[in-house]
Amino acid sequence: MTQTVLEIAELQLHFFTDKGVVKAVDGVSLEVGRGEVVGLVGESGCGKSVTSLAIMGLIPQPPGKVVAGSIQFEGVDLTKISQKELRKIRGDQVAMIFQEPMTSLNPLFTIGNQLIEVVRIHRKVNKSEARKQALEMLRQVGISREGILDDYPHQLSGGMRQRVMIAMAMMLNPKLLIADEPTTALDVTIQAQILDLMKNLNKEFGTSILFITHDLGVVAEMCDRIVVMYAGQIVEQTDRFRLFRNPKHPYTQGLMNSIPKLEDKRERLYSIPGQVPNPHQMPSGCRFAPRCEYVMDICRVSSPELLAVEEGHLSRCFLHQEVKEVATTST
Amino acid sequence: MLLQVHNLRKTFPIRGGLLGKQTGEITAVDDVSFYVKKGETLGLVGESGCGKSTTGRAILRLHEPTSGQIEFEGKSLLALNEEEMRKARRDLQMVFQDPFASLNPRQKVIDILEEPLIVHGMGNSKERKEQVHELLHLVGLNQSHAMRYPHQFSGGQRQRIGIARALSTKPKLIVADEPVSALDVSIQSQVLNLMADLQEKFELTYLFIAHDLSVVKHISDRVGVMYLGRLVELADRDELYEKPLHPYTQALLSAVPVPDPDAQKQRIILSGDVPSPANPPKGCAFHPRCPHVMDICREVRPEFTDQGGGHFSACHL
Ligand SMILES: Nc1ncnc2c1ncn2[C@@H]1O[C@H](COP(=O)(O)OP(=O)(O)OP(=O)(O)O)[C@@H](O)[C@H]1O
Ligand SMILES: Nc1ncnc2c1ncn2[C@@H]1O[C@H](COP(=O)(O)OP(=O)(O)O)[C@@H](O)[C@H]1O
Ligand code: SF4
Ligand code: SF4
Ligand SMILES: [Mg+2]
Ligand SMILES: [Mg+2]
Repeated sequence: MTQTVLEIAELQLHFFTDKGVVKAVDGVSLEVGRGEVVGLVGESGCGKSVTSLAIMGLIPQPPGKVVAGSIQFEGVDLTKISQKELRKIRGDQVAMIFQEPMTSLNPLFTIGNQLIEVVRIHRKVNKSEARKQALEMLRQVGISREGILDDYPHQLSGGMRQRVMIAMAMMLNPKLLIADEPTTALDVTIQAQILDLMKNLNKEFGTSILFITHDLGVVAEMCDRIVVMYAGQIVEQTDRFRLFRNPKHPYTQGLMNSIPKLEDKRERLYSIPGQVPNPHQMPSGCRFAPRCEYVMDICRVSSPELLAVEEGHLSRCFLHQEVKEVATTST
Repeated sequence: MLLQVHNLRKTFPIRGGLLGKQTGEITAVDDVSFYVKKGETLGLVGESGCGKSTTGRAILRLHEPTSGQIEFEGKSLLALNEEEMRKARRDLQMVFQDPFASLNPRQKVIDILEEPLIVHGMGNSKERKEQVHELLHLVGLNQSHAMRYPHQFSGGQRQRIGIARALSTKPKLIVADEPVSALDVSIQSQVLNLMADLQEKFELTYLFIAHDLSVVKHISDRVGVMYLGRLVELADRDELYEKPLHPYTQALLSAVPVPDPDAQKQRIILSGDVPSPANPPKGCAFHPRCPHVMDICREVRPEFTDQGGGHFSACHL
């Protein structure tokens, strides 16, 4: 693979709540290479947002805390540095786009003010130069309407606000862009515009992207490599072709069979029985065991590890781990 | 023909200023006509704010239509007085998008499900209790759930309760407004399967509103597409998805992300945003974004007409 920009290793992130400890992220390891788009998918509550907030150092603490593991960005462990150093990296080298643009746009300031502010904090440029850069970036994201810099966020549509956010995130040409459900609140035709824009930014500037979504269609179109999470853990990880052609983990398989597809004819949808476990009462053994149609005795007592089923394809399931043992003994 | 909607229009006033004087008008639903056959599912798709929910609610007169005609089993719903309409709602029920907001948090499930039965004077106390248990069973819950409050359920379970409530009066038509949009995929497929089973069992007719085109395709027999308050295309499901006539439908379908990295797709990327319904473009409402726009489109509103075999479209092309 190309050079690594981000390397998360064995991250453990817990929330210490009145009702007990929630292991929101439990041993997550993943890498994002330079210029690579990595997708993080899974159902709500599986730990996608918490993982991304941890990278940005934005976990509310307390109740949250990184209790183990490391997050290396360009060789610097983000869990070890001061808030001040982190702030410098944030925005400048790592930027984030949230699902709801209003969480990062200030309703009291104009679009122009906010974009210019971003440049001026991190770069030594004068106001008119910053203004020029802001306009140029807005043009790149496809909103160059006259007077846009003087508009307030509420004067823009949802799609335009999301584009302003992308412009703001891209202003400083970050090495890594973390996008948490950036198009979930948007309509499909606007979503197509935004995804197209993000792909172009990735190609043109070589920006690495960690793309978080629950939409398998979106990951299939956007991401080079895909990480599937379930209940705080990674259950499968590989490139997008192998993930969709040959998903290994029963959860990934179930998810893929559950979605209605445009090209299939009416028939019954597959559905994964039950529901995601309560974070306060994780099942012992494999966390997917209560819903898994292949569950075996061992699954209820011991936890499978995330291991390679083939080169570059990881899965956390005893099924193929057994298969592999059989294969090695027979040779 | 179970339901016929003719030239339905619904406007909302825009109020501004200190005195809340009316400063304008939003046409949320603009001259919409369609029918729903008994036992079928008509899907209604379109982007946020295009008037899907307003259409659904206007049919049940939860929003009073501004003009138009609604016939249910041949009778005009708009001619009914309040008391008659209340009775008619026994046959016309609604399931809402947000299972969290649509259930009273202070009511136990048993009371939520019994209420419509009481309102419509159905059965005695014992019979009603039995019916509640049967309803729970029908939607995949059990008797032990009856004494719980909505917050003690997951999103998918709450949506099951919403469906049970809609079923309680043995309706003929269910208007389901984004019933699975708030649910995760694994739960979404459970609820879609449940709705299909119930339809078969009780010969239900659905008006199924959603913005997810794959979900609508899965569940519908026919599909209508809305844009800025107007129906722009309506056809049999396969016909609409395979041979869309309207440029907006074509763009919409091409924009759906496909969960298959091997798929070859020609994407039509539109430019611009959906205009405000308070100030829709003249002529064809889609003309500022349409890749095929012609001079006539800017002036003359295209009629919604049958292009053959029940495939309706509103376009000058
Ligand atoms: N009670 C109301 N008062 C004023 N305007 C309304 C009201 N209800 C809806 N509208 C407006 O009518 C238009 C259509 O709204 P509607 O809720 O029917 O859209 P929709 O297609 O269901 O959208 P979504 O996909 O977001 O649910 C919108 O512009 C909306 O703002
Ligand atoms: N501030 C918090 N306090 C306690 N628990 C939290 C907090 N934020 C998130 N969690 C828990 O962490 C888990 C993962 O959440 P999140 O990363 O937001 O999920 P998603 O994958 O939907 O983005 C969930 O169980 C959630 O309830
Ligand atoms: S380890 Fe067992 S329960 Fe878990 S996914 Fe594999 S087969 Fe299913
Ligand atoms: S009427 Fe004209 S603008 Fe409207 S969809 Fe047809 S071609 Fe496009
Ligand atoms: Mg999230
Ligand atoms: Mg709606």
